[in-house]
Amino acid sequence: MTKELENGKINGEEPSTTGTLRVLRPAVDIQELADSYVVRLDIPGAEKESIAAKINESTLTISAKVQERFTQETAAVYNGSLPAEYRREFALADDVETQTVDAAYELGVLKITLKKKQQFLPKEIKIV
Amino acid sequence: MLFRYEPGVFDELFSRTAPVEWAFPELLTRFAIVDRSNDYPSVNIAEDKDGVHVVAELPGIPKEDVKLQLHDGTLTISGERKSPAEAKNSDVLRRENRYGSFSRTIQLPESIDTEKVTAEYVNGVLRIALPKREAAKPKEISIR
Repeated sequence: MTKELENGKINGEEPSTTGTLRVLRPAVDIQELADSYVVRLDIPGAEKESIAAKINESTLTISAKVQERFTQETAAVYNGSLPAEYRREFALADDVETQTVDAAYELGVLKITLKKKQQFLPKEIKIV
Repeated sequence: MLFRYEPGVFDELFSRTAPVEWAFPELLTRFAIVDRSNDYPSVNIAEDKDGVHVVAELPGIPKEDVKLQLHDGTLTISGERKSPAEAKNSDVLRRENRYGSFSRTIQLPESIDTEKVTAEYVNGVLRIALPKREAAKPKEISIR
């Protein structure tokens, strides 16, 4: 889970250009719990319908389109950041259950819960 | 008119780290970020004929935890981002987001009508509309 794909031209510091879209790699928090991993990505202003979290073999890809910050008539005089698309990929560890992805979007944060496979969960053995 | 910045002179008069801009507002570009201690949150500013639009990115922060203040021709966005609930009984594998308190101050043009400022928060994005005073808006004069 901790290993991240650095392929492609996506770089966290400098958004790259894909066609006319500016692609931004969102900041991420990853926490490991006893039975799952919780991944949180900051994707403020993402259109809810455009958010996609997909697992392909052992790669988790997250992408989302960003709503326009200003109307076209409004000229931007200062741009702190104006991404058009969020995208980030993660290589998943062997213990991640790849059949189900649970994703929730709230307050501009995408929370993804990845369950661990049964055989990797801690087991208690009863002493008889 | 430009003044040469001489730290020794101004630092004695003003305890702030960037006092020259406070002492001589004419040195400011129109929407200067006054507080340069950090660049969080990300802010976009645009202007049209009706007013100024400030868009700040505040993911993961409920609007109750955000404070907006207008004071002396500046707009201050401050608040606190709290750590997520399950952080205590888990191992942190990666942390790129920042948590804790933040503050950012933006110098506003004089034409803003501070009584009519509105703000809304949707999906982690705070939009602040700062309309211009009627007198400051461009006016067309018909020729008789």
